[in-house]
Amino acid sequence: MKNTMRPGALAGIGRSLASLKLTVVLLLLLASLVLGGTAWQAEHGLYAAQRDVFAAWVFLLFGFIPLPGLLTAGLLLFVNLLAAAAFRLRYRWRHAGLILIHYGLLLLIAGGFVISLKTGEYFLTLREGESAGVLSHADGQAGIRLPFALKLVDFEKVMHPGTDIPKSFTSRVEVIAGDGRSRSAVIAMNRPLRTGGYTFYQSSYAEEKDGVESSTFSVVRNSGRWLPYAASALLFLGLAWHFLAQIACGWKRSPAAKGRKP
Amino acid sequence: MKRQAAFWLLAGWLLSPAFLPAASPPHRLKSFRRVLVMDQGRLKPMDTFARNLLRQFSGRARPDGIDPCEWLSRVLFSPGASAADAVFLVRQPELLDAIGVTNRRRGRYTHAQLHPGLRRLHELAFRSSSRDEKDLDRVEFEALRLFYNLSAFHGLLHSFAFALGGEGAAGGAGGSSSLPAVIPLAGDRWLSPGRALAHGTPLPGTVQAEISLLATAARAYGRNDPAAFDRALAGFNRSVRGRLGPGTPRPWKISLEVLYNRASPFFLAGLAYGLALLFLLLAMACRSSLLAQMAAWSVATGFLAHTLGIAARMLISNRPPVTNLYETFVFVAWTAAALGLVAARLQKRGPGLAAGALAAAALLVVSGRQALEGDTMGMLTAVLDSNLWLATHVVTIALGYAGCVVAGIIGHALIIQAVRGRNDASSARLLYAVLAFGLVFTVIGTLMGGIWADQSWGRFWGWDPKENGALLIIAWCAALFHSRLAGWIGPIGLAAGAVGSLVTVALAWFGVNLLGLGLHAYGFTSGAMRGLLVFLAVELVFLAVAVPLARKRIRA
Repeated sequence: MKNTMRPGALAGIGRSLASLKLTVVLLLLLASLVLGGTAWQAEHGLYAAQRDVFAAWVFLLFGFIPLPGLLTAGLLLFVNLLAAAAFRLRYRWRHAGLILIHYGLLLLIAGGFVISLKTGEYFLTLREGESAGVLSHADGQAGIRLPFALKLVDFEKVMHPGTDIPKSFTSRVEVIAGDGRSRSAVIAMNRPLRTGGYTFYQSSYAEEKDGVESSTFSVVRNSGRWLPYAASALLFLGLAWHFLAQIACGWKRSPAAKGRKP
Repeated sequence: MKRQAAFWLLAGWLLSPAFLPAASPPHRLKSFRRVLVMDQGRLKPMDTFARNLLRQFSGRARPDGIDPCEWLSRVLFSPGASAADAVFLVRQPELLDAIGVTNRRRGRYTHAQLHPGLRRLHELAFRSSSRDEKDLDRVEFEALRLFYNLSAFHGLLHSFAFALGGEGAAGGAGGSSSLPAVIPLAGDRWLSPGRALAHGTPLPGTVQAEISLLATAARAYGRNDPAAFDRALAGFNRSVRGRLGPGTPRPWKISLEVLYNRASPFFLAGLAYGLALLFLLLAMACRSSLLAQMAAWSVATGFLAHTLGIAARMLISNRPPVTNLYETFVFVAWTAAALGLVAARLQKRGPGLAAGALAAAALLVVSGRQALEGDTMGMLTAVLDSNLWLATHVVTIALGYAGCVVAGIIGHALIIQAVRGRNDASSARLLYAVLAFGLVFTVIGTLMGGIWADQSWGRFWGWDPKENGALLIIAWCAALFHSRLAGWIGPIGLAAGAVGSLVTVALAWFGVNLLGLGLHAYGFTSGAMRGLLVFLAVELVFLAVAVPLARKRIRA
């Protein structure tokens, strides 16, 4: 393939993509989308907010004015950060913290895209004594078949004495493998069950008329689950480094003085 | 020397109310305060129970200077006398018309004054209780509140009817009051003495002995025999203590809670911060460096009380410092005071100390209002039952909020100074540093929140309103720093932006709670929406008026 562009022109485009002013515009766009999306959610619920704003490329204001949705804003921020990493960041030891922060953000946004595009989130509701191996989607449609079955042995909720404040929700379950072997496990708040690439979280419960309790788990099939962790690690490191470096370098010679004068 | 003397004088004056004996109490309440009560799922000393109850009834910690335990002991053991205590707050005067109580008065009502309206109040409350809370108007809501309070009061009036006979027993239902639950029975059940007697199955000998000790105490109270009253309750406490399992709070924790209640460290801290603001104003007026020093020492004294208070709460409840909405106010106030003190060391005569003290004082006032909602050490719902994440995520986020709040107040100060024609580069640097502190900790806290969410619910990020609130703060502050770097805004712009970050914090903190949705909606505060809107409007007007003025003055 023949490259018709001069390298200088490419760098020029890269530099304008890396522009700080673009960053500011995008961050303000992000802030207003978050604000608007939350208000939208208060009005129409989380599902509508996800569909219309948070997981949308285009958001239609009043139904006909197209505005960039959160995915677009995320993608643009990613491009802006990438260009900044290539053309704007100054690779000095002094700026190591800032560099780590920006790379961490790149990874975080990338992870967000991977997870939102590839991860499946399902639900599973079981009555006590019932077992099942098929997960359903959030809207109730049958989703995917698990390579094992899950049986709810007992659901127990404990209240703080004399109150209706829940102290704990606990589901005792059995994981029944394809060959019939089973093991028992516990799923509770802040204590999910991870098995076979799926993670089961205690989500809600119901007590039916006949007194039998049922328990609902949200089930996540993880892809790229490690990405936000790696990104967080980079960000922690970068923030700590930057923060400590600023303190170590001394308050007297510090931040605003380094800001470029207009 | 002079400075130190001023400090110790100040500290002595501030801390003295805590250790002064109350003005000659008619009854010795030492053992009464330490009686264990099971209330709202938590085992607490009678002292806390009495305080919460009185606060719930009256909307004040000490209406007309009444000591909560003195009041409660009168209600329990001398029901006739307590009808004259003016403790019932009626927030909607229209309610009094509705129930036909005619003798209006300022302040609170006594039980005797409300008595003629009880029947109509009961009818009104009964009708309201069958409807959804959201559909009730203010008067109906208040009717429900007053009715619940009066029912609880009635229960307490009759709870010692078995011992007192006469006035108490006339209620007939004397044995059925469920308050106060002070008798532990098998299976972690706690009953009031009346309920325990009506329990059906024969009670074990020790329980019977405990109930007769309570009866002895009640009669001693009536005879006005303080020594016998205290002796009987001390014996009761010993006996109950002896029967309790290892899961119950240690005696020293109960004593610490009583001490914490009586010392009211956050009230003292708030007082010290307020005093510091007064000193700073005077210092500005007189250009006196001694007054400025005294302000710093006053904040330091308040900070000491504040720290001890938080430490006491952590010891009592076995939990990290921030676990509910009330504690967010207290902890963010603490951080703000700390930031103010650090700023005062970095930059003498800067706005940092004043900003920290103002933020801390204001937040402690808000926390005092929040305390009216009930026990501030209440039990946690199952979602929050994780000390590790409460200790890390919640605390870091609170640090971040505090940074943004203090930066926002410094922003106000900078803009006002600019309007007065002063260009203060050193304070602008301080603002930059404090805002950066806020951003750094908000980011760290948000990431930790993501990790908690992933561990517990299976997703790192779920667009929950509280998560969105944190993201809003981050996006706004990051936009500010990048605009400063790009040269789009100068020091005044950054100051205005910091005021904006104060607004975003207010939205993230209260806005999402007021929306009443999402996983974090456990801290709903009724009636705070109007306050938030007024705050937003005032800040917008301030920015719209002051910033252009400041720009003009700086250019000129």
